[in-house]
Amino acid sequence: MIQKKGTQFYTLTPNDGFGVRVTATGTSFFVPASIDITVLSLVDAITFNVTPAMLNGAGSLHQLNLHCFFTPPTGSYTIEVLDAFGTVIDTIMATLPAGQLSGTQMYYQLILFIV
Amino acid sequence: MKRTQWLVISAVLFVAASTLAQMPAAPVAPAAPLGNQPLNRVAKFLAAKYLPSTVLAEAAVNKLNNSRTDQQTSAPSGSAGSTTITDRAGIPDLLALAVERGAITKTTSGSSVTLTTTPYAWLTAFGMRDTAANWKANAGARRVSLASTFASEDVTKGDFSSFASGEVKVVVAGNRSARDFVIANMPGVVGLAQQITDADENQFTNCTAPLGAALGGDLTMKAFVGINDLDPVFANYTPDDATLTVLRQCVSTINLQAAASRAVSANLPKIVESFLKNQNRLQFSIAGLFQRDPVLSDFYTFKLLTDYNPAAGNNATVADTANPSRSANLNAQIDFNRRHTATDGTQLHGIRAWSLEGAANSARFAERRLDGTLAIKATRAKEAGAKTTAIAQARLNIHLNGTMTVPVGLSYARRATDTIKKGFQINVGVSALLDELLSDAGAR
Repeated sequence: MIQKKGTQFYTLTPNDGFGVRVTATGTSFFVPASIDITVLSLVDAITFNVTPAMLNGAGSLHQLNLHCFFTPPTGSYTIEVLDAFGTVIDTIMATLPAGQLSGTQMYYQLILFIV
Repeated sequence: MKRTQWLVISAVLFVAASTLAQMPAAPVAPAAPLGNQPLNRVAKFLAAKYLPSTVLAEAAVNKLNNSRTDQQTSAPSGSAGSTTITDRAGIPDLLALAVERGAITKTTSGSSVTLTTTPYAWLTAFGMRDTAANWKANAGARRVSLASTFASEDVTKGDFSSFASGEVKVVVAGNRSARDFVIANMPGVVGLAQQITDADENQFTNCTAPLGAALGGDLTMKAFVGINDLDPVFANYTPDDATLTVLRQCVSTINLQAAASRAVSANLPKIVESFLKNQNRLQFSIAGLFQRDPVLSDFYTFKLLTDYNPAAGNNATVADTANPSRSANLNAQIDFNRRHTATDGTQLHGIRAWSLEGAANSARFAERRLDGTLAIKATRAKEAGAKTTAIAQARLNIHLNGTMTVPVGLSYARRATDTIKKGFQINVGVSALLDELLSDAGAR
């Protein structure tokens, strides 16, 4: 089962999958995303399931990239990491500081280590 | 000091304090910049420790603004204290507040406070989340705006004495909110997203994967668990030449990520603005208004409002960063007296007056701090012998920031009527489009 071990750092076994869900509130949804070299087509508030087949074996390091663009520069994104049963194990809230302009992004790099 | 003047001063201070609380001296770096992400942080730490001449470029942020000029945030034209002779067809997404001292119409005080909101704003204020799904599901609630103007200096005469006018406006066609469209489906956005994912793919291939292999599982785990203090983690670590090469590659990939981020942030708002510009050449609204008039008779107004964007449909990308193109307004209005006799006993017609308004609005200029309007309004009262009265106005909107605007106008009326002053008048006010503040508050 996927486990949170640090800030934006998770461990899982070779047989584990997990889910990622990004929800936009008060801003238009635009989140280019990828895991390693694979582009992910995220949809607002819909869980994207990452399967074990998309990951490598024990000892491998993986990188999940989430680029949350704010257009207009209002509201927030909620990033949720879920285990295979749909339980949320981590929540990240992305909100632009005041004074930022439309088109600014908040970038989140989630590191996954297969143990 | 008179009661209304205290109200005006208090409202101005409230808006100014709120704006100052939200307005930093300079743009602040976001809380999640590229360099602070876990892998980048480890790579930067190691590069700084073992490659002392390396300098990592920090990701730049910011470009662009969303700046619609079609939204009506001030008191409707003809209301007591209004600073405009023409109305806009658009409405705020959530809430707008205006404090004005207009002198176009004859009132005892000349000052007013106007609140404009939508039913959607009330739904989100009372618990509904402002998500994309709710935004779509409640499109009807976003097309209606309710505006109330409070201007009466004398609040002793009857119920709701301070209430001067109320308006209901419905946007029938041509909504221009960016949130009504899916950005990922706009032309050119796929290419922008590709730049981002290409930079990330490059990083994984040339930094993340080889660095993880070079550090080994145990050190990798310690580094990411102890991300906030990497010194003890790598106290006894000495990288070999191959690892130093990987670290140089990591620096390069982080720089490329930053460059991709800058490119997308610069171009994304242009694409969105171009898309919106091409979607909505014409905006059409209808409005119903009730206005207090203690001299003659309270009256009702029915308005047809149009906003025309001549640049729409030419498929040209905006040359400047999200600078909305110029636009024009053409509005028609008819007023109906509520009573058949004035307070002095004079007989009144059912139809009070007709009006026709036209305006030309510039795009933003002077680093997008200003935009201007030239407008003319012709009004003819129904009573026998009445002549057409024309009012011309030149108005400059000074945008202090993304929320607050100061309209300053100079108007001239050829002749006086029962409700319009003759000659030159200066009109000033403060208006605040509070959509951003409320949207951020609702997101937390």
